Amino acid sequence: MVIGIILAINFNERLPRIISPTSSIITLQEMQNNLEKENELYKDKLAEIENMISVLQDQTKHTQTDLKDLVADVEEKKAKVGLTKIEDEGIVVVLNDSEQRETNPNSIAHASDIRDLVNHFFQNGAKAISIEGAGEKEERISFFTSIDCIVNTVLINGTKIVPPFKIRVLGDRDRMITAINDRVALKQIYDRVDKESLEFHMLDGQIMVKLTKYSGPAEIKNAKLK
Amino acid sequence: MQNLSKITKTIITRLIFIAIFLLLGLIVANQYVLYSRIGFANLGDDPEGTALRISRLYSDNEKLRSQIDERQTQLNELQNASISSNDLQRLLQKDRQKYRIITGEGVVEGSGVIINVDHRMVLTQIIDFVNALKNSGAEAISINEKRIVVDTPLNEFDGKNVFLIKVIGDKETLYSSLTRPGGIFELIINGTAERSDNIVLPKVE
Repeated sequence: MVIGIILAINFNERLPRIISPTSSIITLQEMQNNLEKENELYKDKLAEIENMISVLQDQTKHTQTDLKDLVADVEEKKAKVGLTKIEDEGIVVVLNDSEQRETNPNSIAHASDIRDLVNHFFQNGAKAISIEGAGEKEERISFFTSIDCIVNTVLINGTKIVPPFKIRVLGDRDRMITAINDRVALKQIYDRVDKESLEFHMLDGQIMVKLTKYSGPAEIKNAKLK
Repeated sequence: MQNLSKITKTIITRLIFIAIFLLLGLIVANQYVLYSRIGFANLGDDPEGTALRISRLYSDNEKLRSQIDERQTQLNELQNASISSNDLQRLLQKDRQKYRIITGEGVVEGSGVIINVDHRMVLTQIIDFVNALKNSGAEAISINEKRIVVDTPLNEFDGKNVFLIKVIGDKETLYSSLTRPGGIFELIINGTAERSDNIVLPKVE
């Protein structure tokens, strides 16, 4: 029996071709896992290089005083793009699937809810926003960010994020609090909060809010300044 | 059988038992391997969703690789002790220009697509449309001659009936993602798109 088990395992380990739909799914998922790991590595590597460049540019301000203003300007613009960490007053909003109702399209948090909220907070003067999912995976919203729903997960900056979502918003707290309580503008969300117990509220006690930097692709190949 | 010796009978019986147990072992292990694989497969989503994520990850990783190469070159130049002030200035200006494009501080030009939508669009459709353009690699966007940057709210376009959307980016990718079956036009709202090499977008107001 032991020999049989060994033979069977060996045979299964050496499947030469994809021969069933199950194998195809496995191959896809293995490929996805590898690409996700690769994505994280690239993001870390890029962040490391960016940090080293920042340090060198900072040193330049002291060694080459004629470039001091230019370095400061570059740093300011880099922050505006979202390539630096930031901390300021703001709010943290929780958006989560209902825990009281059975799963249905109205009781779960969607990528489209996050898109609407991002637009809503910018409409109300937000300075910067990031989205954090379960496992403290945080992604900063930049110009290049798309927030997409792929089956049951949300993909932001190439990172797979699942609820509960924490939407970190920097901006005038009073305005942001008024914005989150706007039941007219956020009707689609509040209707589901009332009827389906979708979780949507502000976290108490978070006055100063920290946002991570944008770490996704930011390639400019076709656009140039006129 | 009657002519077989007792020893031969014992050997045959044992061989039969060995064969049965070998078969049982094969079946048990095969089932185990198969179930563990099926179980693993069920943890994820459907193949279509996984394929979509793979496609997105592949494209993102390619961009990240290219960005790492570019930034590494810049870092190497900065680390070069003999770098002149002029070279340093050039590197800084390059970064500055890139950031100005992203923040919309300057008028930009380049190739991409020009989109016309002659239907009413509500806010959620506009948000989804712009999101899809970013997903397709947009580098700069304007709607009705207003530049769209990271913190531009789209509310002012809510309920409008005519849209002229200009997008700078890889024109073939953008055009295909708009017009292909199951693309942006089919999923969000119908319109027309044309490729162009001379798109000019205004700076942020």
